[in-house]
Amino acid sequence: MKNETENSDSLMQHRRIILKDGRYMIFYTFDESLSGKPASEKKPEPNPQTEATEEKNV
Amino acid sequence: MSELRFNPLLGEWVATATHRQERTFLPPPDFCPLCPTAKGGFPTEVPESDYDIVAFENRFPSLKKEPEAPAIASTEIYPVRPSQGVCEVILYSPNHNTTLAREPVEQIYKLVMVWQHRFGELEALDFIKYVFIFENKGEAVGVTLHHPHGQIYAYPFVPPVIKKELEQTRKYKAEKGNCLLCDILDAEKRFEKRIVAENASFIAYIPFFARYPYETHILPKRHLQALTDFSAKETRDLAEILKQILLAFDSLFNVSFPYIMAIHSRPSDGDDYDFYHFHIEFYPPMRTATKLKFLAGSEAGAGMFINDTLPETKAAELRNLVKPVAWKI
Repeated sequence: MKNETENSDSLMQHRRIILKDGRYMIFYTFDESLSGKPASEKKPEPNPQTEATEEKNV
Repeated sequence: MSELRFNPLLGEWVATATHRQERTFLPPPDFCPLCPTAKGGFPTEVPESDYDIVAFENRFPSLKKEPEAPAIASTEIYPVRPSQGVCEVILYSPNHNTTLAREPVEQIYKLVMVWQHRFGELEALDFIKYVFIFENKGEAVGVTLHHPHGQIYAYPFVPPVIKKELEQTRKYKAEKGNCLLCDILDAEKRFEKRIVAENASFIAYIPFFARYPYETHILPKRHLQALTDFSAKETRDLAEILKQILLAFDSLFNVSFPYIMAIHSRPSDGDDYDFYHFHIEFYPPMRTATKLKFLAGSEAGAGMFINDTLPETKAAELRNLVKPVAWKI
């Protein structure tokens, strides 16, 4: 699995993975200040059981 | 099998995409392919247990980055080309049972930022001439998956509706020296009765020439050509007016209101489109709580829409349902 993380700007980040069939998938995450939720709430985390492959972090 | 076939009668390309016949059709909620993959659950399209917003290449694309060669040869009368392009899906939320209208305005704000990023990345591809962001919502407009999502088609040509808008706006600019949509903005602000909502950066209105009873357009007050031209304030204001319009739609008949949302930007072919003005168009098919507007003989066969209602009346109806938006940030 390939995984690439970039800063789009200070508020948004994205992480790109390549799925088994070669398609890309981009996960967007945002600064906690945009959530409108308490900071203690869980952020999306990679699933260890995933079958996709990740690109390297940049 | 997939290819682009030219219609010489209308001067338009048609995509054949026979693999799309196999795509998932209205699965039960427990087998939604767009939900996160639950631990121990069946593997969905998203191989992670949670997400905020996700964009990915469509599993059943009409256009592909590296398309196969056409299965049929091009002739003088029938040009054929590979169906090159990109089709993406954007998941608005991991929650299967939400809609864009029901999401907090903060989530819509995030989505607008994702749209900006996708637009910029896709238009940088050398074979892309137009990036079209849209949403089909509701079975009435033909959705096959209920999970809240939108799509992007990045085309290798400027599609016909945009081409027509470009011709009209170019002609208007040449004749009057002004931007057509800037002048429409002024006219609607003076007339007032077709305005549905307004903030510092945008107006939402039912156009004078609306084809659907609740057809609503959102127009930036500044003369901008694409989402990537927006300031931070405009990005936030777009999220806010979208939230207001979508909630007003849902309040009309107390149903999750179906619509097609079409984001109209300048082309991405490198030419100058300074005369063009970015805007969003909504085409909702409902004309009453129990009746749909169908594209029948005149609309489908001749291209002339018949609207059974007056935009001024419908704008007042919708305007009365617009509520202020409460931001948490």
